[in-house]
Amino acid sequence: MNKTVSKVKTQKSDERSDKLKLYSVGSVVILIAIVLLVNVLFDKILGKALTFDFSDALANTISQESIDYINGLPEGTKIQIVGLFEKPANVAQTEYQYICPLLDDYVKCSKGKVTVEYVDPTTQPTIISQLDPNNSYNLSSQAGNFVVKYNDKLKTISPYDCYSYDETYLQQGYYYVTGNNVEYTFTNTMYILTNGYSCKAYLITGLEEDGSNYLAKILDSMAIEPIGLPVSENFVVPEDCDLIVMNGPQNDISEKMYVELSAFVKRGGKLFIAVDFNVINVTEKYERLNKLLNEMNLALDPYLIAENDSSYQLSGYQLDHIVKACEGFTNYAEITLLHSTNARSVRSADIPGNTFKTAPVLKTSDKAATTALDQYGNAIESTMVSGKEFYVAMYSAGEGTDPAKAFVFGTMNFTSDQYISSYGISDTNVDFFKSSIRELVSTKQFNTLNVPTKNVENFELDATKATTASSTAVLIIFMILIPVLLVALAVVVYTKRKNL
Amino acid sequence: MLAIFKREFLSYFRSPVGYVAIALFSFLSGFIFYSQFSAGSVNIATEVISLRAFFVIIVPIITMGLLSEDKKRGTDVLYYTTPVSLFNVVVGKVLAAFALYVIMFINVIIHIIVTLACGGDFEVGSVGTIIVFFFMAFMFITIGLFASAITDNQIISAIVAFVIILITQLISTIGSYAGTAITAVLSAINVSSAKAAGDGIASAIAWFDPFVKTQDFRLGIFSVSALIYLVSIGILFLYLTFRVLEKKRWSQA
Repeated sequence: MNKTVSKVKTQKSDERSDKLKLYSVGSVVILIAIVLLVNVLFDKILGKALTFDFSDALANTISQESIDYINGLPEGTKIQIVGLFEKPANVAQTEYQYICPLLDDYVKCSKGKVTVEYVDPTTQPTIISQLDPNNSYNLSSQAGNFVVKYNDKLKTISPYDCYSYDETYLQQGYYYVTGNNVEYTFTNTMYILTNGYSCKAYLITGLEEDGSNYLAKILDSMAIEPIGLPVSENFVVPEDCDLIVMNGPQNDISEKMYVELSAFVKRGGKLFIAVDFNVINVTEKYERLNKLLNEMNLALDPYLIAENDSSYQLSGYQLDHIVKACEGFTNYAEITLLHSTNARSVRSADIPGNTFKTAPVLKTSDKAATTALDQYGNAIESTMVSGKEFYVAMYSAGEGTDPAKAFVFGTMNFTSDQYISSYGISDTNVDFFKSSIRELVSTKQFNTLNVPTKNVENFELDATKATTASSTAVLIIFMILIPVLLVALAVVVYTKRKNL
Repeated sequence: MLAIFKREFLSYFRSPVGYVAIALFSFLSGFIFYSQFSAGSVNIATEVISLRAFFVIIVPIITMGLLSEDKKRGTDVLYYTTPVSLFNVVVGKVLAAFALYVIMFINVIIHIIVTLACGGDFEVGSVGTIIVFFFMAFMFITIGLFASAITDNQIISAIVAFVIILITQLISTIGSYAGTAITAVLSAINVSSAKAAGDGIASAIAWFDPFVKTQDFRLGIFSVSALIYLVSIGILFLYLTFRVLEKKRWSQA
């Protein structure tokens, strides 16, 4: 009898144990399934909606300007962006850090008009022929870059193109990023592909001029195709030229160039010239260039401007100062006070003709001075003129329906790589330059998009505070003192409690 | 729960474990901070991300004794005999380990203060990495607690926690190897979509990688789904721990 009762009890216990085991395993399986389902739901369906960009300057989100442009594209537009590389599992601290998240946002906001994919041509070589069947763009040499394709047209973008760099470091071979131009580059590239260029600008090269990389980028973003025009004995201004740009020539133009450019002006050509006063061109008189400018009633002086009004000086320097936009040009940028450095004065020609009318564009205070410098950079007292207002930029326009026009700037702060790399593509001076270009080629259809550039994070410490001494203090306190104290405490506790 | 939390938290400081764990964390964070400071540029996000790599060492140290020690001494019988629910026991212990992590993190807070005092920047990406750090700490602590629940040997518990956390940290690499292996096998038997299958497997495995899911936080991109993933895995391991303890209750009955 007792045996039977015991057997029944054991049987009941086994059944209960089996049921609990089943419940236990079942509940774990169900929980795993729920966890998977919830995560798939949040990741694949709600993931994008529940992702927020809190970064400084919204570095990973496209601006309203880009959204409006994409929304304005006709339904059915397909812009394909292909990264010719395998996307890194973690893009942080790679050159793609600011690019890949932003491209994701293009996809998110474009409602199917923009697609982004990453294909490594070394593992999938067919991607090259798919993108460029006629091999017109030599994409096989573009590994690591992006291809933006619209219909049959495509442009390549290197990650290098997406940032501004400090020119001083760059000359030493270091890439010190000063600005994030990712959205600026991609949106403007899409614009050029979908709308095409409106005109051509030829940038004269070979006069030991300053770098024009940023200038070319800015023109490109305005839908003006920048093309290099090297100096040669057979120098000719191409027939399709809408604008000639001379960006900081350190040498005078040749006689042949003068003849060609003069003919270009006579047929209604547009000129943009920027020349500052620096150690290289200190003795250059620009006689033939002045001869050309004189035909447009303008002249470049061989004099350096020094600003004596302290309220115009920047950081107390006479050669680094503010210039004011003159009447008629005050709406060229958001503010009328602009930045000029090592400027030379620009003025009307001594014997003005009737065909061209000139106007001052940028002026100093009425307390400024000019002086000629000797070959060593020392001021020549006898040439000094002070207590006057000088012009740093002037404009000249001819008569007729499509007249010749010119802007002459006596400073490089509006066009040089050195300046733009430091102050960014969205700087007020750059806006002023863009307005000047619009004035010159006013009949053309411009890209009016004004995509902002973004700041990059800067984690540098104050060099006066992060000294070698403070560095040593950090080493001693955080790597030695605190850990040793804690280990000592551990030993004390262990010793006291080991016998408890 | 509060009593369990208090007991466990104080027990860290009644033995050398708490001090050693904090000392180790201080040294590692100090080393990373000093490396950046001496170079004249400090990104707190980089420091916090680097510290996440040491979960694999620190978590097993602080969780190895949470349940296994009680089992070894036989004091785990108190879980079943006192009027405290097992859930409260499990949560109390997790909170105690988590609180120790918070104490450890004071080091980083001091680093932030020093950085700001020296003219450095503490931007939103760093805030994001800190949030992820604590969510991940929660997840890994629950894994450590689970490892501690399945054995009465602290060393085995630490090894199990170490292995699971290591696998979690290498999950993308494992996925990549698995994908390559599957591609090779399918190619060998002439399957046309071998590469696609391999890539699919690699992506599917990498989908579980918590480090990949949360990598954009350092760029200032906050993803709620990534945090939900960390919390849900934590809850899953909490429940597994709870089930392990429950099993003992019924097997004893």
